[in-house]
Amino acid sequence: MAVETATANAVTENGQAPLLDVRDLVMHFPLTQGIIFQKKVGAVQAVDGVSFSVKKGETLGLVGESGCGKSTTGRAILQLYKPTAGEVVFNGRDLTKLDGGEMRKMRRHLQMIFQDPYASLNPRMTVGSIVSEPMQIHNLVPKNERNQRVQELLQTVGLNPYFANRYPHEFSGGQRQRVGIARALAANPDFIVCDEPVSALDVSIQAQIVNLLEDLQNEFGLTYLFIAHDLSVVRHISDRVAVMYLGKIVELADRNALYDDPLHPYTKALLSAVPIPDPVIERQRERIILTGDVPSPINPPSGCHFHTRCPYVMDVCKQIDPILADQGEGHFVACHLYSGSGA
Amino acid sequence: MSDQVLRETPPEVWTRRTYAGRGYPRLRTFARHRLALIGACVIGMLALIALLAPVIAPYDPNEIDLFATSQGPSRQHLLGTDDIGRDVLSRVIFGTRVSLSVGLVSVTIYVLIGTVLGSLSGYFGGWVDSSIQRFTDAVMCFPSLIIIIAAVAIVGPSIYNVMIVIGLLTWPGICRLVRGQILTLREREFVEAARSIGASPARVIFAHLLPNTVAPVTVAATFGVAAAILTEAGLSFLGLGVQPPTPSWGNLINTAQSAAVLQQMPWLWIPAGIMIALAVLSINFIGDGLRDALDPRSASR
Repeated sequence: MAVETATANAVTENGQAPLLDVRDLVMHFPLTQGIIFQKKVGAVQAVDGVSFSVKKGETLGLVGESGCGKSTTGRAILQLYKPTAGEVVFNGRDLTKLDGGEMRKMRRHLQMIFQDPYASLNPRMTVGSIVSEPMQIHNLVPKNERNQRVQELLQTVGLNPYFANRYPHEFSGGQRQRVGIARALAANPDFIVCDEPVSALDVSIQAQIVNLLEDLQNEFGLTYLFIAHDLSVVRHISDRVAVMYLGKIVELADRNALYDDPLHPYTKALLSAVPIPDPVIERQRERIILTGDVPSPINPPSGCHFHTRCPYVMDVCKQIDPILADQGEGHFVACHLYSGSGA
Repeated sequence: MSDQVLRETPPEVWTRRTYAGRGYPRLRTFARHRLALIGACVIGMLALIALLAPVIAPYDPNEIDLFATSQGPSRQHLLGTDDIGRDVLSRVIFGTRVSLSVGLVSVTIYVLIGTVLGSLSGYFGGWVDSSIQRFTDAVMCFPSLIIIIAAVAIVGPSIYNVMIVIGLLTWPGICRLVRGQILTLREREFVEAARSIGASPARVIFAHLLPNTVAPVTVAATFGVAAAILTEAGLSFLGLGVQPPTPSWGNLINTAQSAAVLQQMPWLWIPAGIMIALAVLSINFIGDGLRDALDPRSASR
């Protein structure tokens, strides 16, 4: 996998050093049997060797269907799950090697916005105490200025500062998501993992939240890893996009390159599923419909994980796992169709 | 709420009470619960009686008056006297002290033990959980009343021993309750959110998990106070609790062991019985009221 790492990270090496560099991240959840003597009977291979890097100020979109390991990747980066293998280098430090206390100090630089705005806020804390908690933990703002700062943050995310003494259950989904964003901003982070921040919201609210995230990025120079399954949202906010399938990145490219000229058969199928709001074009549009279901991550297919559903499957795909290789201009794809000899 | 209110600048006060979430609205919700309010009043009165016992009681509870033995209620002795001429009213008043303090102290002991063990067990899981749970199973297997009787017999019957023994033997219930709550809460996203902003395990447990278990624990604890009062009464009734001549509700009822007293001198045991029933009922009502008041979702505007 060394080759893959080297090539995937080459893009950023000609610019400045990447803010976040993920190398061969592996996250397997063991399946055990037995009560006292737990025998390992297998593993859910949620993330299976993922490498990418994110430059400062950039938004990397991470798309894929449900269960492909997008969220797990985000959480493993933040060390909310202990990765099975691989490195997560943030600002030159490998997060996987930090101990508990060091990692907790590090967390002020890496924050997360959660998918479910109903579950991610403690129902017993007021919005004020939720937003001030990161400052309290990292001792960032003098105590007597914290309330002031909370009010500023609420204003920044478009909430009335008067709401600080209310409880989360008094808000709508969109407002709660804004509270979650205010909490993520409270520690002045450099990097935010947005784990499907808009999927639980109404379409009309989605746009507001996405625009808010963009405004905040411009204002505070934030770097995002934007996880979503909604391709149009990702297209809107991302600079580069990575497509995941069954625990692996199959394609990674600049936004326009990926959407206009997708290379991987899976990406093509995914994009062809997006309807076009014009009945004439829509009728003529060629759709690639994948057959079958996503294979189980407990027992993924040999070779290329996608070969069971790929319309262009070749013999080599069943045996050899394709590497994520650069096809020019930072357009990476992991597919034997583009690797010349196929091996 | 009108727009006008929303547009106002935030009032200064939110930084104080309401900010911490322990404001007066909770009190109002509690007060709206009629029975709970009545219960609180009754318990408040009992507490006052316990505190002011020497002032209120008309006689010394241990003063023997051999010229007035086994008298029924009268002007001099509102609830009559017992077989050696002690004033029953005074003894009931002083008994309040003993019973309430046994209830409170033993419950404090076991809620502390149960909450700490339960939260460690639920949060850390793995071998910590298994060992704590097996220990809990072991303690739960003891027939508690018999163990309490045996323990009190060994260390000697006294009010303090009763408190400690009840406290040390009845925590498994709370432990299980807290563990179960923590197990479900631990998987909630806000706990992950707390970890993602850098909260230490202690902070996650004490600031995020335990406050969410307050409602069931409070309810269980109020039931526990009632149960402890009953246990003390039972032990004293058997002669293993509070030792005479110190009066407690339990050993006042103790006198009703003979059929003669039961039938012909009801003033000896009915008042203490009423006090026990009153205290236990009131505490249970308070538990109900607290459960409603402590749940922020049930608080109406």
